[in-house]
Amino acid sequence: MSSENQSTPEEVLLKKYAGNIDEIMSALTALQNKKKASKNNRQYGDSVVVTSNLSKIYKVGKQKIKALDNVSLDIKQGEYVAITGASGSGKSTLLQLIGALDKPSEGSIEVVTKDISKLSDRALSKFRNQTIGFVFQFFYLQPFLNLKTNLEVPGMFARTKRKERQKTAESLASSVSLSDRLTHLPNELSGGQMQRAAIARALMNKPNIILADEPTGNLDRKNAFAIMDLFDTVRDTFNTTVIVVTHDAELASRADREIKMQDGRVVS
Amino acid sequence: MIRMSDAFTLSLTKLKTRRVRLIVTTVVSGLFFVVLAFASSLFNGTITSVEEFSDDGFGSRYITRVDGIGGPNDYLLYEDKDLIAQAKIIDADLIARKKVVAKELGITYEPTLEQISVFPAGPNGKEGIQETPQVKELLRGAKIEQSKGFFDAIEKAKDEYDVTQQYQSVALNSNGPVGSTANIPTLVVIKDGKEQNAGDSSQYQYAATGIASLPVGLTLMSDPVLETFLLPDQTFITDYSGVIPIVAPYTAAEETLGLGKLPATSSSETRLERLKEVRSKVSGKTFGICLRNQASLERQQLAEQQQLELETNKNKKGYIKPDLVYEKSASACQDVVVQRDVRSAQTKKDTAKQEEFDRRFGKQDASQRILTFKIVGIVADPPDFGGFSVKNLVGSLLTSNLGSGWFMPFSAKDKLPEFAPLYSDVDLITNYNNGIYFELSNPEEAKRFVKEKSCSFDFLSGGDPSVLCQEKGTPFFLSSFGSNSIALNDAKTGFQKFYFRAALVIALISAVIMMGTVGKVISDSRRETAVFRAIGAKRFDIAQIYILYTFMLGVIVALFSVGTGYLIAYIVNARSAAGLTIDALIVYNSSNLDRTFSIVGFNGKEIFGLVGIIILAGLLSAVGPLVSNLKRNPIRDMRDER
Repeated sequence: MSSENQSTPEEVLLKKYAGNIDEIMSALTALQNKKKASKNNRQYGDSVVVTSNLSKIYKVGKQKIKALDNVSLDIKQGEYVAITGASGSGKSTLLQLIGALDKPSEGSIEVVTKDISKLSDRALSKFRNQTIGFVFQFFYLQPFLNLKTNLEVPGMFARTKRKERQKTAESLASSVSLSDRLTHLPNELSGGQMQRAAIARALMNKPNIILADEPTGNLDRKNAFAIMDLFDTVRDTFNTTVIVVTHDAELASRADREIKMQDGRVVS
Repeated sequence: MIRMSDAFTLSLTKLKTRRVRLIVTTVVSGLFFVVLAFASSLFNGTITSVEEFSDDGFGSRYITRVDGIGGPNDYLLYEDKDLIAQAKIIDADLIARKKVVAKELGITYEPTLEQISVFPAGPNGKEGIQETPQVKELLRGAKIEQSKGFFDAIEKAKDEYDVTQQYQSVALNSNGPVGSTANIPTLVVIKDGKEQNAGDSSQYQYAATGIASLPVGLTLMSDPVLETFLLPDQTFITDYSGVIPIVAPYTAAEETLGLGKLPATSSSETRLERLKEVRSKVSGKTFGICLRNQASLERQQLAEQQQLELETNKNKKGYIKPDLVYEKSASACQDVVVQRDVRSAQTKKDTAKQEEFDRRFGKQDASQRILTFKIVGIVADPPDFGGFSVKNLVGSLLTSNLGSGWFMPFSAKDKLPEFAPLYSDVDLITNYNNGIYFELSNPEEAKRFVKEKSCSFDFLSGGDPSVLCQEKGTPFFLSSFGSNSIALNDAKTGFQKFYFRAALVIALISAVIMMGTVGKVISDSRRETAVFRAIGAKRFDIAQIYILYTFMLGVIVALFSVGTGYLIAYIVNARSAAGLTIDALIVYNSSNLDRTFSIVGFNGKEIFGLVGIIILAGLLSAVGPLVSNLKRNPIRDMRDER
């Protein structure tokens, strides 16, 4: 697990080979290969996201734009998946369909064995609250709530008891090394700290899946790697499925599997 | 639905955004409500204070003035053929009698110079009566006959309503200064032993205050009405001394004590001290007023003219002085004295015969006497409407008086027999300075009486009101008299109706103003709403947060409005309450000088109602933006925010 105080393996390498970029890159690649080797031996659970011929068509004026085209996927419980692709490739649309924020135009999508395209608006809200944890590029923490209360927000919508919520919030803050920032407002935190807080918030209701849309897009490289590693730790700790959308291939390589998209299709 | 405490936590964050806009919205949308809160305090404080003072004064009595409609129609009367025929007979009889007496006294009488009662037919071919002394009784009888319907209706109304007392008043200044009506004497103020320009009655026309107002403002009023204004230990009971009890205006009471009017800038303490001094010293204070009949007044005017003529011509050669010259007496309220009399014996004899002739046909001899008035009570002066201010506005509500001027108890009317012709007019309804009053048992009965029996008609529809009102059986105009008690009683409900209607109108305006801020906050929060939806908030949860936010905004506007309204009320009260207290002490003749007047009052129904309306306005302002917000697609909002 990374923190501001504890150095990541990458940081250790950076310090060790300070000034020599070739050596750094070589050492990093070796480290990632080591991690992947470990991941490839991992045992996953049942399928939690199954899509079949999933398509999404948007109407822009009189034109129809196919954002997703016959996407079929199977993502398992405990898997750490990165969805990559250029801008407009359909990766965010796919994430939104998995997160029940939108409904497919064609095809089916089952999340944790539920066909979410058939759920009512109310049931979808409950589904998002209980099953999904969202992490956004811009964190979206409540600016006038302190960190602890920010973490509690999903619990509020779940009508979790206050004491229970507070206990979970404190525990999650500890997991992301923010115990000493519980009373701070978001504007008193750094970008990395805010994203870690956002991840902790996503874990409040113990979701099966974390969906992260460009979670490192607003961070520097150091924090970006730290966040990607944090997802790994989360997956390890909570057996949560993590699906990250990113356009950064290097960051995507931290995931167990990379799904590449192009023009609304899965290309590899 | 999320827990209220959680909804409160989340909605509180909305109040922390756009604080400047929040403050501006609170102030702008709350301004009109501030006025309403202030008005509520002002109204209720005033009503409460007036009611407290009314315990002592005149304010809790329910008296209605009854003015007649459909009484004598002078035009019809003066063209009545029977009356014209009778008037011609009276004129002829008078001329015949004067001819006989003139012949008996050996003087010349010219009948063509006689003022006759029937003027000849004009272009319309109709003769008409003019009111000469000889036909006065004839016309009076006809007028009484025409007034019969009114007085019958009066009697009937007394049976229909709970009328506890009937009163009457007679204004002795029926046509301007006292004495300007034929054969009615004139009152002349005596100051420092001298009459104040006796003979020049025009000077009194506009004297509104002080002793000089007495000649133009003396009214006889039924004793039970006046009793309210008696000073401690005083009564209206008269003895044989000829002293006349009178209720004086406050400024006149000050004047009789030789006290000048206090400057307008005087402190309330000074005014209160003055009030105490006046009340203690003026009780039983006597002063004299000269009463002159018409003949006496004419001789005063003659003496004045002659003296002026002599002064003007004193150095003129060839000027011949009149044979008989009068001058005013050195003492007040005396007849003129003869300064020069060089008339021949024959002239004196002829003049005496002419005077005897005039005397036989009703001309009075000169007569004057000093009336001694004793101040037994005080009434407030007419309000001074010196521009708009809260004090003047509230002051105008302080009404516990009988109009303005001086009042004599009706029981003392025999002390002024010279005014008897006016007393007899009370059974006519032509003289609007005469009044008939009903005291009713309670405000509801008084209101019912006014509502049911006061004649109303549409002026635009034409027709003769007197005929219309007579036909309806309601030949009256009815109005509250003496106090605002009925009006204030009405005002209590009337104010609330107006207040809440105004509040609703203002609420709509405020809702529009608040909608700007609420709409902005909600639209600014689209991304946040989208995030909340993404992490599991139902549409109703979102609605709950914003409804609570607008509720809190409404509470803030309400607190601002009520707080500021009452703050202003307290400030205004601090500036004007002391002055109003003095006014109220005078107006209500309060025996308890420790009472205080306050314009700060509280009416729970109005204030909590106002708070409710403000909050409703806030909620109303949220409806549009919220519905629009909830319909939005969270994905699009998240995407748009990037």
